[in-house]
Amino acid sequence: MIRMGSIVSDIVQESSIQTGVVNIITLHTTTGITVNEGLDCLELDIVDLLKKLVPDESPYVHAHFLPSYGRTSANATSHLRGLLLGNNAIFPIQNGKVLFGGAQEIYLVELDGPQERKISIVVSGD
Amino acid sequence: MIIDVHAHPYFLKEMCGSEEQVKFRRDNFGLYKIALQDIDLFKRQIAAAGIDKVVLLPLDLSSTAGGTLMSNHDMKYLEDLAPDTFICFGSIDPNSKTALSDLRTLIKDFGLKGINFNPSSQHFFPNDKAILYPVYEIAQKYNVPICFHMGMSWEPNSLLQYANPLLLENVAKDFPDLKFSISHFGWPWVVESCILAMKYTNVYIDTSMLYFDSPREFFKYVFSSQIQASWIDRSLSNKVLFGSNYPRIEQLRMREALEYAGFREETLHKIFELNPIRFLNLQGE
Repeated sequence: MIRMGSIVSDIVQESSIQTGVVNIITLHTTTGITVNEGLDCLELDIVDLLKKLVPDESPYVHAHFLPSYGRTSANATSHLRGLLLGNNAIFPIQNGKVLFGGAQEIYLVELDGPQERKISIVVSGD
Repeated sequence: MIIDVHAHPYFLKEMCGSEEQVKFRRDNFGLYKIALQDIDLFKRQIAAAGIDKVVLLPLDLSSTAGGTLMSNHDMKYLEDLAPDTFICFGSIDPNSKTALSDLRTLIKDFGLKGINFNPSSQHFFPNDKAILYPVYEIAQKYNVPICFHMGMSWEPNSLLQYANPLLLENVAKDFPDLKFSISHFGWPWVVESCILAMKYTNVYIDTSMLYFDSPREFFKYVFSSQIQASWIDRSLSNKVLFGSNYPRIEQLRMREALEYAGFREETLHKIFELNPIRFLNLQGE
């Protein structure tokens, strides 16, 4: 679980937008974007919950050779955990800063790594 | 230590010179949507899988496709970039008129650690005495192991008629000091692979097989229905090598599949470490 709230804050401040919104969206289907409190213990609980809801071992249909790829897909758990987490977050911007609640952190959750990932961060407003 | 004896380096950014070269590799290796990634990321993936060293395998398809998937010169360059992690093999085209001189260059000039063949995509019978026996004599003389891709290969132009492991029996018998491995466990000829490994001291088998279902499910099927895990534990524990066939599948998933296949801990230690060390002549390193 990768904390990226400070990255988003830096981008918003560099944009000079004073009032608006910032959209954060992952361009991948085996990652998640989620918001929760930035605590190590809670990160462990979130990972445990994802594994309980989407167990490592189950007869997933997405486990076979994909001719269009030329390789086997065996990452059904990554896709399904990403489905549960969601792929985006949106925050208001006030006075040139992201309006975070006191306990909020933005997480990129890597579910099939290590891999190179692309995250879109769009700042809009005045 | 864990050594993966079967991986392919064709889509590392530092080793991809042009779009045409990448297209050639995609079309002839048969891997179409993989993104190029840099060596640093590959090394992090290897570490995340708990793997210490990886054998990287090229393939010379000069006769059948008009080029190599990666040259021996590039394999040497790649090994020098990460000598603690990468163990690089070379490849020659046995049908080429320069096969023997290419082999000597591979061994003596580049110092590559083994030879990779895929009879089904290079279109040769491995027991062809006229073409291959001079190659095997040189490999045996220099104690250079050979990896034979046998059984099912995913490359688009590969033909199973060249890939039955029993085609290697005469090679095992006539070159008793030449170590070679049967990749893909020779699937579907798994029993035949086991017979050869049991009968001949110089024959090994690697686990780079995944054709249906998930890695864990496929390994469970092979080691409980086609053969028994006890065959490996009791009779072949010194002959099996861990191979992933990356990038066809992630190394971590294949490693976990092997760990869940029902083998004894001692057997796994041999498969992951002791057998590859012996096969690759890494004793003393």
